[in-house]
Amino acid sequence: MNLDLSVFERFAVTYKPGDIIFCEYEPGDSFYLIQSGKVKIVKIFGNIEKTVDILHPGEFFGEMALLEEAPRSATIIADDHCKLLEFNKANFEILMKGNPQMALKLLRLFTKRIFDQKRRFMILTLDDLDAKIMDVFIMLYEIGNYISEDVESSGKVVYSHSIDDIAHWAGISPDECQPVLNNFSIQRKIELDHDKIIVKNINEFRRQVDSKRRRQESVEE
Amino acid sequence: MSPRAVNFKAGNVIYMKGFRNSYVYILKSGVVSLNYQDIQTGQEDQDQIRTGELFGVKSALGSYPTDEQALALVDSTVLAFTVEEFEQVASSNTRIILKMLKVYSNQLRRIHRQVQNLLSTGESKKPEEGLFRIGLYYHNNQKFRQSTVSFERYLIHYPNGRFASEAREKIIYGKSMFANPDSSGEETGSLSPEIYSYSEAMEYYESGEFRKALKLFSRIHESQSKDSVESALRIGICLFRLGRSSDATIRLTDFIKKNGKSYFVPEALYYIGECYKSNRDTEKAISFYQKALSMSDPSQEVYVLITETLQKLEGGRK
Repeated sequence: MNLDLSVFERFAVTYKPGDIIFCEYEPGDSFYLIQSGKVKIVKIFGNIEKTVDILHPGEFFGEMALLEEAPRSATIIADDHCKLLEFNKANFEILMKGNPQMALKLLRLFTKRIFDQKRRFMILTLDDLDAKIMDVFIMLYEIGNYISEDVESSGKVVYSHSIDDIAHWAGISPDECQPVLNNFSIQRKIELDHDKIIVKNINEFRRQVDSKRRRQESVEE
Repeated sequence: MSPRAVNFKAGNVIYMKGFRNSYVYILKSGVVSLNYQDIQTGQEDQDQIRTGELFGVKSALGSYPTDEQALALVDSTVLAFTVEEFEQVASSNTRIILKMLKVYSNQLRRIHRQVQNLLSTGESKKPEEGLFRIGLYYHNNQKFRQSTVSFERYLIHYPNGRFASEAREKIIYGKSMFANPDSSGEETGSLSPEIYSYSEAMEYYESGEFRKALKLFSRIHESQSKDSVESALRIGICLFRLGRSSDATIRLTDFIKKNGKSYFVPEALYYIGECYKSNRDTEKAISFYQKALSMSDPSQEVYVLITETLQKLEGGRK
């Protein structure tokens, strides 16, 4: 996406590493486009600060609160020296109308976010803990979040995620996640390496999760 | 390139659920129903598309499988656009995109809330309290730069709010941790040397490098600087983490004796309990956890830690 943003230079703001750009729960009145540097999206769960995502140049944030005039849903912290373009509701519409490519990019971003959240919802509604964790691996594979794969011939997928990451996606504690993964490892369904997790056959995981989900749905009916 | 008009008889399926759809549709005439399963209730639901409205956008733009079935309820005509064609049309009419952005933003927020409800960690706080608690989190974790900004934001939005006076006090405290809070210079350049080494010690501590952290905390403690008291506590915890439970108990007991009114007393009591637990003296450990709990405030990080530890221990005894 090649955009001429020079006319928006007057909206540029800079932040140092560690600076809070906005806080979760703050009323939202501005929207940002990253020109340089990185920002991290963090959420505080109880007494733990979790980095939900890291955004790079060309990416947006803060647009949801602006569109709905609702409180911010996460805290944003500069991860680098950052240069951002800051828009308010009035110039957001001007920016979008004058930059359809940017508006379309935002539209695509929303569709991705909706898909990701729906997928996560499906994982969380599985009752069976083993199936829940298997489904996390399936989801990470579906969204392309893995190191390498050989699904066609063997079903193998290699991930760089930690146990904490898997636990986070499954909505459980690492203490609950660890024994399940150990068990998978004993059953040779996965290999636990110090910096990676290898799923031996993701298709088998898919089959098991589908079967658990069907069984769960039939019980609920 | 131009969109194709496609006719569907009443009862015809335009696309199936789970289908990889590559078209964006606009209903030209007729009535179309989008049938989907509500992910929360599992109930079948439907939305009716009116003439001129779009459907199939999310699956086409994102190349995702459709999460609904599109069904013609009466004889209908739809215009089918490829993604490229749709983008061309939308580019010349950004009002369409803005409208869709609002719809998707609503959907996204709704599903986000549902996910948070399932995680049970996303209790919906009132924004005022939520914002204050963000500041409190950073304050309790000695991230004073972030806590000061959060409390300042709180006061901007809620100058006469329920937590305003506490926020003001904490801003003063947070700023006192900086030599020059309003300096526009580099972040570490404005910090005094002992603050810098304290935050460095905390970095080691938080990353589990307790030997290095212990060395720095000892140095800070000896310097009698303003971080000396907290460093005394951290020394005890580092010793415990390094497996030196009896040394840790001595240091933590000494910390409580000398700083009986400190905010960190519950944390010290908790770690004395941990020392006893590691020596398999569960009864004594529980008595320290209970004492720590009675003295801690629910906003303190250690409160959750103590509650969870007690629950586990009590659960294990049943």
